[in-house]
Amino acid sequence: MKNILRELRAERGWSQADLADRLEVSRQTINAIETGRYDPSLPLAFKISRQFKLRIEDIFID
Amino acid sequence: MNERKIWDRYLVVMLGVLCLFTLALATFLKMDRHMPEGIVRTMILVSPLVALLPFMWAVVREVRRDEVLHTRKIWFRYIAELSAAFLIYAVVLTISLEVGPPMSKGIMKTLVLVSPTLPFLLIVWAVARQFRRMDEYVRLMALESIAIAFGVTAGWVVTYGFMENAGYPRLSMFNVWMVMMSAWAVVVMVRGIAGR
Repeated sequence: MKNILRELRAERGWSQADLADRLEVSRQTINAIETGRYDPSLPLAFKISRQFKLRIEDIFID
Repeated sequence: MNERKIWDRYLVVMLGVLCLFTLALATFLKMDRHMPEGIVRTMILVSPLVALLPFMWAVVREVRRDEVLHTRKIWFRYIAELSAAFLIYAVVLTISLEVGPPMSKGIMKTLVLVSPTLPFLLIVWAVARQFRRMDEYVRLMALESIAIAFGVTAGWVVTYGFMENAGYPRLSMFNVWMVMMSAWAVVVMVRGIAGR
């Protein structure tokens, strides 16, 4: 599954570590999601969508 | 990844290998040399725990450098809990190895020699708590590493079972634990270096 997490993060000037801290996950997790190596669980996807104030389907593209 | 980080990771790996080497050496001396009981034997058997100290120090250095506050918090909590559990284990193990062997056979001797199991359960508890604190991706990676280590161990046990049929000596059940832990450590280190 593709996503626009890296673009959203860049728009806000956040590093992977900044976003990881906001979501209370590790930097490796953010990196794995951004590079498409890992699809987050529904709870984490909701957390991400709340962080960016967007719908899940606006961030993750099937 | 900058050069300093790579060297820190390298340090963690090398000290981890040293721990495994010490553990293997201590087991070898215990099994094959039939060392006489006494403080020297006890110290050799407990030495892998001492070898853990520089390893823990290297891990602390690595964790301190992590940019994510959340990660630092959960790792420091884990290191504190694990260190306390290991310390209690080392004390109980030393006492058990010193007091147990000279005792006459019976239920008391068995209880004294088995007593390190209780603080060992504290170590298991500390690891289990860390698993609950990990985020989902890190937990998945950790469980995958355990699954690979399980596969390696199963392969080793089955192969050695066949080798016993060919006349190789029967080994202690403790070897399975050694292989499993070594395989787990190697898998974690290799995947850590690969940056997965």
